[in-house]
Amino acid sequence: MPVIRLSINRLIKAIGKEVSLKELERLLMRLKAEVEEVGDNHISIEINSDRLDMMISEGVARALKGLLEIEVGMPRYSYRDSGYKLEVLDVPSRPYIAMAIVRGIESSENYIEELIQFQEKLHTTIGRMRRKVAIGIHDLSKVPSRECVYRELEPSERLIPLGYSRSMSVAETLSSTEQGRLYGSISLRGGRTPGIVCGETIISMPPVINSNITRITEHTEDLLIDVTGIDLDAVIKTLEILSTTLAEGSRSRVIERVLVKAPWGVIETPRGDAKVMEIGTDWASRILGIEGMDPGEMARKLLMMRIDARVLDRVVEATIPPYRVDIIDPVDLVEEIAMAMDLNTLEPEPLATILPGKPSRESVVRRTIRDIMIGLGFTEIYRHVLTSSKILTDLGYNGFLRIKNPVSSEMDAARPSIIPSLLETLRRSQHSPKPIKIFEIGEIVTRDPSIYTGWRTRLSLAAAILDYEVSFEDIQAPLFSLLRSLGLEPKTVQAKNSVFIDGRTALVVVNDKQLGYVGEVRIEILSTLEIDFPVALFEIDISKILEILG
Amino acid sequence: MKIERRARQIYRTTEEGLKNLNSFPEEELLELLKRMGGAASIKEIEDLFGKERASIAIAWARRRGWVRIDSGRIISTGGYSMERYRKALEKAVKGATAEDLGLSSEELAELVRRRMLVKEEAAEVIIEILENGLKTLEDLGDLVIVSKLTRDIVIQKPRGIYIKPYNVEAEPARIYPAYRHFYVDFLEMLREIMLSLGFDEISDDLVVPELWNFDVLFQAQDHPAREIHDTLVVEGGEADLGIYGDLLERVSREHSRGWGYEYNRSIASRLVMRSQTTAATIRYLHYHREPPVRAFIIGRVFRFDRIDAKHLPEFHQLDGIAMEHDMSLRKLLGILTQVTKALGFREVIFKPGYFPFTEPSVEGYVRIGDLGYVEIFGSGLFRPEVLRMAGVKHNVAAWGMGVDRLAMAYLAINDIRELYTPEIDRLRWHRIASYKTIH
Repeated sequence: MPVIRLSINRLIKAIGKEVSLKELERLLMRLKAEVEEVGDNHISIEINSDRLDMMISEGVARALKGLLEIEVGMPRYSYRDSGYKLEVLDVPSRPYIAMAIVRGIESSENYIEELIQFQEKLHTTIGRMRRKVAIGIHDLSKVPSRECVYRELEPSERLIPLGYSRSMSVAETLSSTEQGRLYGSISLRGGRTPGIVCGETIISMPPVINSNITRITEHTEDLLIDVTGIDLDAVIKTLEILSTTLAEGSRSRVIERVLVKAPWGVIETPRGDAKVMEIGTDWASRILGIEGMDPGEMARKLLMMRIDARVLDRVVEATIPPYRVDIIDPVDLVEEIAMAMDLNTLEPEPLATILPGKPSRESVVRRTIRDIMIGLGFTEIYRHVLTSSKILTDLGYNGFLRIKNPVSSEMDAARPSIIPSLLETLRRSQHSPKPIKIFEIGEIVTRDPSIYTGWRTRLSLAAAILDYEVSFEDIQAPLFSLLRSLGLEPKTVQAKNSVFIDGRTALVVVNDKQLGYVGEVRIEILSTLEIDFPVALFEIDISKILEILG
Repeated sequence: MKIERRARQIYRTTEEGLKNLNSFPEEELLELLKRMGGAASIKEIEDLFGKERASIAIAWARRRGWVRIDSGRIISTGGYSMERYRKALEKAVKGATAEDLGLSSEELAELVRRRMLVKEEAAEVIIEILENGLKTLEDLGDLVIVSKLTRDIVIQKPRGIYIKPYNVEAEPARIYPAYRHFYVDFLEMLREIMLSLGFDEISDDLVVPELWNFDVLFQAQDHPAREIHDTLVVEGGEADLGIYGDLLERVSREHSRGWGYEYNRSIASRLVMRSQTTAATIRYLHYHREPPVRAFIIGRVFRFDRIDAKHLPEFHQLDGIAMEHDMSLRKLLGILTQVTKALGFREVIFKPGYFPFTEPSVEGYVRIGDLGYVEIFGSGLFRPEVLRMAGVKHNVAAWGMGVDRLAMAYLAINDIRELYTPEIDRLRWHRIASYKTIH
């Protein structure tokens, strides 16, 4: 979840009223946000990633003013034509762009810090690390022309990258600046990369870096915002959030539109269109669980969430400001009502008492087997399903599930058997007092072409004994005791297996069904795993026992 | 009889000591270096000795001044035989006093420090039969002296036996009971709570297509949670979604409408290790569409998470769903309050939250000891899009919780890896009795 650091002075000024820290915490909680840390001049707040409009003081204050009823309903901004034009040529690697102008901002060191943070938080969320959407913000007075072109730049064209004092070629900017190395490959196409050129000057190289020429300073008055990307809808939404939120903190609250002429259409951005949605009041009452909630009260709660609302017949018509891109369905408005009410004032409705639930069949058998194994003197262990492919290969397993992107080589495969988990535990515990008798009941994953994923999760039981001396009967006896306790009549049949010593390996058979293996572990395996004592063990498939028990 | 007891200290060879009866690791190292022409790289030694033994060998050889290390190579400078140490270990197999071992106190201390010897308290008992005693022995004549009772003795009940007294105050051999695993016990307790609240238990596969893990839960196909640094992807192979034709139609429609892109079925069939147990509850809902439904799962989930005291790539979640004809936000809060009370918390605080598949969404916080308020639930009513995809016509309350963190709070454990320990001694140490009061 994104955490933003705000200047306390700016936040209080934007709210326009002193608010105690306790009150602030309580209010932010109702907006899905949480105070993380409070410093002398700064406050860190965790914002929910659906509230992209709250990544800067102006946006947080706008929402808080609603809850405090200082200002309710949809905020108004006036829109007019700027006279700026953007011609868009064919940019196949990053086709979409939109621009806006916001005038009369109050820049300062803190403002610039928050502005950059706002931009970065949008990059990491809706921007998908600048791949889907990237933002450039410029000092309008330094933009050299009212006529701009968005096109691919040749590697030899030159600019002064933001933060540098000398001019560089596009190719050098990509290869030698930090931003170039991080983001240079995103929209690169045969050495060419997108650029915004105003007059003769490159002002931005999205999604990589701006030019130093249009740098924002403490004297900046007016902003030019560009948003580029590979998804027009996301580009437009990002621009709506930025333009309205920055205009919220401006003196004029005026947003100027830019004419964008592109192969994919001619539009003036930003639109600033409010979305209208209707919610049935009976339906909303039912979802909230408040019978017959007053439609007027619902409308008042929406106004507190900065959404315009008026009551029609059994319906509330809501007008949603353009920056609330998270609201896509009427049910989202029901949540807004609940948030305005404060969830903790809503009295929880107890469930009607009903009969106890049914455990799964696996759980029932699992519990029974667990009790019997403990009665037989085996201590229960509990290990991961993820294990190392190396140990599986050492034990002679193949065709097991491998993880494509493992976190570590210790956990790069799913176990097809519990035996590796037991042997690993014995290796680590072999110097504990003996005899060591352990078992695990757990999931294993095996190849099975008959189900739609090709991999079946099965429940398995394995038990082992490690001691100074161990023999086949030492493990066979408890195995038979367990199966007979379950009402099954077991047989063991001479067999071969990669884990067990030849001549001391048997298949476990019940009703002609093979449940698993029992035997003494091969000396080579013990020495590979660095186990210095003999081990005998068995493993049986509980899923098959369930089939037999019916 | 005259009995005299004398306490004395003896040394006994440990299992570690038994390993070194033939040669000490540093001696083996020196021998190896000799065979390799006087020097070898640390890597070569580790390959031959194993990491642990190699580091012991190198450390002690250095301490004795037998080797020096030069840019990753171990160079031999000559040593001496440790035969005296090994002789001492041999003597101590059955226990021996410091004098018997013939080592200096520094040498003795070294073997104790290296855990090859342990110091034990032993009692020496000297029994002297005095004159009177000898006379009594003569009087006893044919009397049978018995030390261990047998079946024969019990059946025959012979006259004139003498059952030797035991030292009943001596310490017996140490044995351990078989333990149930404390974490499995905790999972069982959660299961009982859920069953008692009327929820049926679900079990499901660990390997699932993204269809269940993400798509039906309305997670956008380009959502970062799906990327390889968040979800563990199964190598090779994909699910055959042929049986889910109708479902895919509905999912495709909702995604195109809600997210404004063209839905990609090949992403839906990609196989992943289940990253949330909601993948199982939503699949259950798909097959159980008529109210009332109350179901839960406690199961393993997998994420691309680093391994440290707070994170593991494999952990547990509990997910529950409840469908009724008139499920509402207040009823959801009611369920959450009941579950929290059943877990033993007095109070729960609700905060609006965000999850891709619920609206309204609620987070639940409880107070845990010194930790203060800790998030325990994520919950909400399934979004209309999710309900339409699952083919369900009634509202459904859903919630999920991380089980491992809760277990850690209950069991007073501060390292998550402890829950899956391979050390038997740790299991012997945990008791159900160690359950902590958490409020």
